[in-house]
Amino acid sequence: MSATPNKIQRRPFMADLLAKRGKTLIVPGLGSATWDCFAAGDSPEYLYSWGGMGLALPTALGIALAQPDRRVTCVTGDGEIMMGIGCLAVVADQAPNNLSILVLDNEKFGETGRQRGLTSSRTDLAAVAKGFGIGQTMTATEHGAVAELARFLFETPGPVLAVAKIAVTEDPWKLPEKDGTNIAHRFRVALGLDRA
Amino acid sequence: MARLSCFCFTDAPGAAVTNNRLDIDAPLQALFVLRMQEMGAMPQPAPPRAWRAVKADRELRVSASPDGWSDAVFRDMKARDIEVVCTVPDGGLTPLLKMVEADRGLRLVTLSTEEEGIGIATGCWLGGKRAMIAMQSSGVGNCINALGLPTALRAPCLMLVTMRGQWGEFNPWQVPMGQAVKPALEAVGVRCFSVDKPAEVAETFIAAADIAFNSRVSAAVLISQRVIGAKGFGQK
Repeated sequence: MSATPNKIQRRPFMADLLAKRGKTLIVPGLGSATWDCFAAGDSPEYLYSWGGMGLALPTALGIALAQPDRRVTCVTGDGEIMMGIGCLAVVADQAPNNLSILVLDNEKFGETGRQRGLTSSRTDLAAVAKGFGIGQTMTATEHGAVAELARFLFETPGPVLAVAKIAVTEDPWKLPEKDGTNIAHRFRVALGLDRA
Repeated sequence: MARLSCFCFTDAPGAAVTNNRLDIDAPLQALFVLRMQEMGAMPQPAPPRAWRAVKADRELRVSASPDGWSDAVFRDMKARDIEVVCTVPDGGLTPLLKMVEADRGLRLVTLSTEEEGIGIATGCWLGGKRAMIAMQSSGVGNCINALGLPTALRAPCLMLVTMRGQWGEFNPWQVPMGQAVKPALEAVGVRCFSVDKPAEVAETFIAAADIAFNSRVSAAVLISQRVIGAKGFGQK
């Protein structure tokens, strides 16, 4: 909610967080979440997205169900999580213990011109997640929370959801591979499912 | 017998249901050919492997479900290693979904809206498992933008759709989407397989599943309201 300060700088924050991910598979949503992951260093274990708003969490859930021995973290924004908010009920119902969700919440539709988002007034995503039945939530408001957030996202039995209150920042464009066939192929190669 | 010679038995996977048939009497003709050969009245064709596939197809056609198709589709789902079934339920899917829920080897994923199923099924494939989505025709409208995801990733996507808004529909609110299902799916590149006879649902499902998983495209089986029966709403 807007009462919470949004001061986390997303790029260094995500770089420090992803440095601690271990073998966690990362499913970033379209737009800035994908740019942030690529800016932190390319990996075939990042399933970059260029479209299908609202589908990052369902996709991450599918991967988590298919790969129960791998940790899966969905990194999305406040706009995208709101578009598919009902999926939190599906996640709670399926209860995969290897799935975590990070919402980078700048209360804006950053990719389309920073129009005001639905978390800017009264909606509290962490409270919403609890209501849907996501057992544990965490809200990060400082860069210093990154170590605690990493433990929460990459080690706590899931499903869990964290909200990071990030600032609106001007970041250089960092555009990864956009051919979905290549993105999917290298992801499956990294999992040993396809030949390189 | 000239018509029977039109059959083409191949050794390809899925040949049991994709053998080249020229008319709708083909299943009966196939059974006739099988019977004649078992009696020794017709030569056995080669290769034997294809022959077994046709026999398996004959068994699959026999359904003990009151609806005449659900248990056959269920067996085909299992035979094709589908492990996850995502759904916003429909009345016509009830027997199938009950079987899925009761099977320890299958996971039923109840959705809040159908497009989630497109993402979950795509994620399952990315992680090495096969999934499908079962829904009512009205849910197809919810999936249209989401269907860009499996296409972009070249991932398989298999949808089983029970139709409303067509054969004897009582509810006018179902009609617009019911009419739009096939053109809308085709507009976003989904191959549609319509079926309006219970006995042909299973083989249609197999055909759609095989093109989806083997050719990695999106495919939808559209089961007519003629198969399901129109919802009566307690009216005569």
